[in-house]
Amino acid sequence: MDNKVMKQSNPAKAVEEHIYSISICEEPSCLKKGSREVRIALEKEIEKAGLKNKVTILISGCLGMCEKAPLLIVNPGFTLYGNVAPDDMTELVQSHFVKGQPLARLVVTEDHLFNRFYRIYGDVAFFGKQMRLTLRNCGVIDPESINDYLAVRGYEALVKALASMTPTQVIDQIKKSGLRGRGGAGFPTGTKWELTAREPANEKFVICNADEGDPGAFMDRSAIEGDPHSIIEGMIIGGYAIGAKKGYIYIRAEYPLAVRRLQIAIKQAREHGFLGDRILGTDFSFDIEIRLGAGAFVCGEETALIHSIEGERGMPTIKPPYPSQRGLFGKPTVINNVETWANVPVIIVEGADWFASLGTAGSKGTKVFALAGNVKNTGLVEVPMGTTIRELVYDVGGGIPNNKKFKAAQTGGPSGGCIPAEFLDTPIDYESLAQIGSIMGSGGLIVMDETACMPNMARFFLEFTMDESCGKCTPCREGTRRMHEILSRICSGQGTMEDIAQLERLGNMVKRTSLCGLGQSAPNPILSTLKYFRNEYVAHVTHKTCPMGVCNKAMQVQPVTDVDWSLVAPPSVEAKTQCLHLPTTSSTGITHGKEQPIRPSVLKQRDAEFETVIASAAGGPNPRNQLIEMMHRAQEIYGYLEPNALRLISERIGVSMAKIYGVATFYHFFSLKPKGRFSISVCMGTACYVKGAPKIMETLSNTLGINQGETTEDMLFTLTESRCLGACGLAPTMMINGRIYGELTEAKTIEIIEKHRSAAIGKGS
Amino acid sequence: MSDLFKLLQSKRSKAIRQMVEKGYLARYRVYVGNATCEIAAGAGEVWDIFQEAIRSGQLKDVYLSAKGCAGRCNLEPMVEIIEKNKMPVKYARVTPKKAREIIQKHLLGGEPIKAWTIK
Repeated sequence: MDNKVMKQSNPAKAVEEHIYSISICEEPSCLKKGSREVRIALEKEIEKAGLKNKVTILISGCLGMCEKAPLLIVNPGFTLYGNVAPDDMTELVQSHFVKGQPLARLVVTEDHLFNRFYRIYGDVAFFGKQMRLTLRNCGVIDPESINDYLAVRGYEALVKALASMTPTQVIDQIKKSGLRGRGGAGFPTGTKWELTAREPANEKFVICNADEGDPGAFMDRSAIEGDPHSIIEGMIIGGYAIGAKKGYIYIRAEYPLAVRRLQIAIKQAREHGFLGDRILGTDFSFDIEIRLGAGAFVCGEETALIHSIEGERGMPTIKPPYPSQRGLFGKPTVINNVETWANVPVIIVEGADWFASLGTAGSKGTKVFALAGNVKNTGLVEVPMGTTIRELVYDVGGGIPNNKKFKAAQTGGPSGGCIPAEFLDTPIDYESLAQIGSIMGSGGLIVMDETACMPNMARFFLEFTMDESCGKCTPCREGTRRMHEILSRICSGQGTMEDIAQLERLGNMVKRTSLCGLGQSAPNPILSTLKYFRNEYVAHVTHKTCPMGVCNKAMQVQPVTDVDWSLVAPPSVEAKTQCLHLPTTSSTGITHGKEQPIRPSVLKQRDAEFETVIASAAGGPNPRNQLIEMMHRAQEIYGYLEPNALRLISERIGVSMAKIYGVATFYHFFSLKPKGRFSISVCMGTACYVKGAPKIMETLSNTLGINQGETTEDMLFTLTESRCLGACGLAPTMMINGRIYGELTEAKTIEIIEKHRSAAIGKGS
Repeated sequence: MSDLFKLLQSKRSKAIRQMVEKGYLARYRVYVGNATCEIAAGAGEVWDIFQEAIRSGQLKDVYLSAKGCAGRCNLEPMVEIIEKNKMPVKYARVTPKKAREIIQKHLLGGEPIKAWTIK
């Protein structure tokens, strides 16, 4: 193996190459077998060999392998030594630290990139069942330092691929590993690459899908923020395998820190020659560009995402042609999710066989989950495929707080289903989850305790999918809205038994007849809760009460009738399905013709700034596909999509105003109205919803005297809701001008608002 | 093609050398979480306390580094302190006030504050 060659090519220098750390367990069972004596002998030998400055000894907590005690782990390289005795230490120090060769006769395992025990100490309950493969460096290295990444064998996979493998061999390895797409659908990654590589074309692309839209999911954000280089390395290898020279990372604009980390990482990778022309002096060239999403859940769908990168409304198109045949700009394209890309370097370095040895028959490797909701340890976890939901909730997650009972786990966000307690022992893999009516999804896992009302949860998800339906196909556009109406009726005590039957029929119909994954999976929350919690629906209908007491308030004050649309249709749906025409003068403040009002100097300054931005885009090769980028910049500079800025975009890059408004109204992130000085965005993700976000919204609305989507008269505050801020561990949360406030209570929320208000007034404005 | 491996190896050696020059081998290594959740929970303020203590010369022989999300969202902000020949310590839910006390008692006094650590 080439990586072995590399490690041993210069043994004498090994000590200079590395700073070693040795972890030794001093828990009772290891102590009993003499681990302290081993440590004392080890310290002596290290001192004797003059390596005191190169080798650090750490005392660790239990490593969970007591039968091999005493245990030592040497990093880097994760060499695990078992059954060691004080007498072995002379030989071990000489061999491992002086010659750079692990002492084979005592090695239990070695040489894995991943960090099985997360820095090999402590917190075993949380980390014990985990296997951190794609998250191997998250929470371990400084994500803004390429030095840190290089020190933990960063870019070794890329070098191995370029130096010793043909593109076909790379694809074979990925195929053999059994890696499947981690975005949710689970398509075999290697097959996708092979299909794309096979297409004859002069240009090909790779895309990283970081449009993490599921409410209650923050895996991709954390992975990028914690270890951006491993995703970049995966993409370069993908580019090499399929013959692409260019990659795009499509990432949510709601993740500013992740975007910044990626920018830093890309710049560092270019400086080191891992990206750019003739990478490391080879014939292979590859570069990466970041494209910002603009808040449309459907853009997680691959064809919709591709259209969004092209600067269009992000609406899905019929497959075939698949992106592998005709993708971005009409060229063959591989599009994979963040986690999938982060797996690639591991497979290349460790080998496909090793990767395929992890997991279950049909699902290999590990899966990252964002554990949130009613669970003690909320957090980001990674477990081998085949781990049961019970292990995830009770061992890793620590169980349900406040001595409550487990009721259901929701996987796959609004596309997934609720899994009841009877299926707690289901192993996590693609097939098992599908069998019980849910999906793997991208990795959101929301735990609900016994107080959750299932029809209300289904309504919550339907409100989401109804709002996010792009409106292209009727079953999804109308079906989700009708289902939401019925659910609202049931939750407000006005439903009938026929409503329940109708819900089931509609759900199955929408599932069968929608074009893309959004519509096909939107009924899952309804169908799965109907299947497992039908009695709750029936209770709402026959007794006109909510057994959990969740919907009671709604039952008193919110009579929803068949025709009262104002209560069930949020305004953005109107905007999305109807706003293709040019808005009138009065609604946007746009003025036609040459009569321009005198612009205040503040605006003129911004105009000048925006001019330079747009000049650079207009001078580029494909100015039209920069449309969404330009709109982002306009919103950054002006605070909203200022009419004159939009007109400038229209003139310079040659796109009609109608098209610009069409795109602007499609995406949640863009605002055509000026915003207040403080833009408050309340997270309505699943975790926040479960933990009381509606109450926070109500508090804000009462305190500020405005509704969602409005701005206070003094132009200080704008109140909006966000799909998910991705800080689910701190639920409920809100963001004010880019800063997130977590664990909100009513009192805390009011206090934060008052602080902002007095700060603004104090500044004399 | 072993040239490529050599190139990477020299990059890696250089990277490690630079980390050592920045003080990686100090008596204490202090890691502060620095992703969105951590920052939302107040990691920025905690970071500033440690950085200021180093800048002012109050702390010597301490290597301060940021890190990404370790997955322990409900315990953020977390501070990890790794000391030679000692069991590493992870503090949970650190506030600026706690950070000052950690500096006093742990980094200067040598005694970890057990009540605030993750078991």
